[in-house]
Amino acid sequence: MLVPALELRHIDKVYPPVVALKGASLSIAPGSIHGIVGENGAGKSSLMQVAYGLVQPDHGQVFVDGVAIQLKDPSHAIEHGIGMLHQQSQWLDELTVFDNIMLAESISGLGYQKGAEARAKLEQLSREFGFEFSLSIKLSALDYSQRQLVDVLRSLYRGVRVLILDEPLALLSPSQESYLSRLLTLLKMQGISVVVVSHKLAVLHQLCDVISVIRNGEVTENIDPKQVTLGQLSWHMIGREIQLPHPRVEPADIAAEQLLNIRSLNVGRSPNKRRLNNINLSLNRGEILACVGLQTAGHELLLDVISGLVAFDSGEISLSSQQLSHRRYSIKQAREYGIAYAPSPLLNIGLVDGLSMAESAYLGYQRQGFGRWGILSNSNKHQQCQRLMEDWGIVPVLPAMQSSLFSGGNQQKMVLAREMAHQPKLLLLNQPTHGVDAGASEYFYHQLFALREQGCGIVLCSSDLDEVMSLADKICVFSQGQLIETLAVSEVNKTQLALLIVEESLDA
Amino acid sequence: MPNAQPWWFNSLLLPVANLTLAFVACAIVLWFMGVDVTFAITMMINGAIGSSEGVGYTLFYATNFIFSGLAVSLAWQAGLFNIGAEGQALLGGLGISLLCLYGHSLPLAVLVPCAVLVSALFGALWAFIPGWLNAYRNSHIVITTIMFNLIASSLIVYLLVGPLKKTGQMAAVSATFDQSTWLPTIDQLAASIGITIAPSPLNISFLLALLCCILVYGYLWHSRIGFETRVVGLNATGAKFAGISSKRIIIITMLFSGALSGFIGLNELQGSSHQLQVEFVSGYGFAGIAIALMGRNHPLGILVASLLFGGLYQGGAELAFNVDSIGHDVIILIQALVLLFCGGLEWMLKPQLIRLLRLDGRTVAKGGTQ
Repeated sequence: MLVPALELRHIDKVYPPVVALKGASLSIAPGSIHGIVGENGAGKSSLMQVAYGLVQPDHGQVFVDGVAIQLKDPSHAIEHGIGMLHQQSQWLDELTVFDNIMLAESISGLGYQKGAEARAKLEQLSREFGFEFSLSIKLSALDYSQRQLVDVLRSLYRGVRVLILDEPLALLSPSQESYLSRLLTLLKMQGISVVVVSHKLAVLHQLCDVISVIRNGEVTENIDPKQVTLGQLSWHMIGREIQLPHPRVEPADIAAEQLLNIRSLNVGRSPNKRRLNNINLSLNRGEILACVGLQTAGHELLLDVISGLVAFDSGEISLSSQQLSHRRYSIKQAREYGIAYAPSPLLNIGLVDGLSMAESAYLGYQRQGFGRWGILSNSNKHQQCQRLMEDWGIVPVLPAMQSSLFSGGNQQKMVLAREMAHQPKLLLLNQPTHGVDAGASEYFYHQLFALREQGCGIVLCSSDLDEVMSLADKICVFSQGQLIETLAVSEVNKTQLALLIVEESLDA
Repeated sequence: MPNAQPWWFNSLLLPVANLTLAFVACAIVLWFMGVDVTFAITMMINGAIGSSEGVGYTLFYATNFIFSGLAVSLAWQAGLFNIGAEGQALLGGLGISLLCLYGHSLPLAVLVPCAVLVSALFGALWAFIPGWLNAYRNSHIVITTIMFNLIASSLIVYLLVGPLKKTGQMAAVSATFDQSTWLPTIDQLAASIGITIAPSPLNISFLLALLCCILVYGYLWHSRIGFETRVVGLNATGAKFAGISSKRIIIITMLFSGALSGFIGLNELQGSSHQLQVEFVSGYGFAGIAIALMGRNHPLGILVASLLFGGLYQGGAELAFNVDSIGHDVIILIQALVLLFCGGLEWMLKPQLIRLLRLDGRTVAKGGTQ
């Protein structure tokens, strides 16, 4: 039996009154791909933070290559060959990839010669692992998932032997999903262990050598994915089987009534630099429209425009035949019209750090939430929030706790819960289930279908094509700011859709 | 992650420990100066709270600190660093002076509410311009409010050597207000119901200060506009997403902040000196920054910090008055040390205290599983 590359033994961590980890043990074999699954708030991130030296455990020990080590901080972990990619990394946008990577290195002596050496080494690594970005490109030119690859390159440069990926963004888009799996296989061949924390059970099931399940702060099982089906995996995770991908619910027959109508919408003044160009689309009540495309395709921007967050330059948007003024339209007005918007969890604007969960539950709806004189009744708000948290399984159920202390998935659940709780006429969703576990996603899908039944129109942007296929009634394919094609969901399957997205971007 | 310490740790034990440390440092400095330390401390404490006169002065000074502390912290909740309390207080004082000099025929029952309004209005006006510039022209509030302090002070100097100068006198002061316009002092009020306390400048604006503490608390934590204010202060992008207009919030907050600063004029001029002087604010506005810091931007904390600073001010003044070798600077020294330990080095003792009391996660974890 090989000595594990990284081992965590009986880790306890308590943040009173919350027990994050109790006796969690994890053993990562060298050169393996190790999946971590668990519900939101089960302790996945806490355990990874212990492995990376970000937090000190109350009890328990960390072993690297069989040697007990007390990891003081991340730089100490990096010295021992443990690297971690965060859900959001801190980069300096105006510096190049090379400068960003070298920033954290202590260059001794006069740097030029050393810099050339480093560049050569990075270029070699970049070729070896097939990174497509140039070292001299500015960070601002890269999208979120490419930035994470820069993070991978940095870890490789530092000689990482155990790489922890917490919700890797590359899993978001179908083209990069396959790229990531190639990359992980390459890493594995080099003897580097990879730990992947994700809610994409299907991908993990395919990719991993072993999957550990975390429940209530404990590692309850280590599963060989070859021995179980995907459905059984979800059973191990939450104690019941979830059908994956989530099953479709077909819409009830309601009389077609137009809700949203967009005519020749443009964002950007000069015709050749438009971020959205001549968009025409319409949505009926009780209909789910999915907008898909690569990250720069402009479909996510369309949501920002409809929600009033970003101004449009020309064209018409009308809601229930009422035309919105492009000069005075704002997100405040949009809410008054009954438009709710759950922005991408990657942008981190749906919640505000420093507010309690109870306050977060009416953020954006404060005009409706307060009495006639603008005076707030606290107990009422706490009860409402508590009910939302219980319904959506947001743990711990403590409305007075600050929202930023909850796990990422639980924060996103609160954003969804809030936006769906205010009886919207039109609901806009961007990457709604990123970071949300399979059980909670299932609940969210049910709620969404129920809203549709009540006649709510829904516009969804998602890179998860399984999600698109499960939810959408109509699909709009975007590329480079233009709407290329509108399809009924019955006309395509997932593979065709993935091809379509990539092809359109090549053609354009 | 939730706080690992019980609530009293951060809000009670730590401040008291810091304060003790500050006084130890003071004692060391006094000892170096050759002062009998026990004598000095006894005198300070006696001066501040030993007599009803002392208490009166302590509360009188505290009133100014409460107003400026609230002004700074209210602005801070919206993410604005209002350094202009000094100038806003000067303008508030100017408003009061104009009212008392030219409106002395009004009955006191009308004059007092008018004075409250006028001082608030003048202070708010002075804060409005930097607020507007920040909201609509993106100028930096720190720079503009500092500049407005200087402008305010020049304006007062100009008025006091010119239009408002008391005739037949060299000093740059206005005429004394008519006695009918003076704010009732607390000792007068007490006397009217048959209680005798020593006379002091403590007046009814202290009650206004207490009311302001309650109003600011309610405003920030129990009203929609206060909620919006805090959201703007925490995250401007998040505020935009929540449909909150930062511009509107910035201007409203600066108006209220300026109004609170303006009340210093009420206490100092109409309550005590009864004439406009060039330097009547004498640093209370800047002290507000320290008070807000020590009071953790919470009205209750600000009240406590203000009482403490009021006591130090009065006790220090007593000490300086009675001991020849100690000048007025010792007040500044003591305040600086308190601020250093309670503000700047706020968390210095935390790890030691946690270890001392065995409050770290390990023991709590055990307690949790038992």
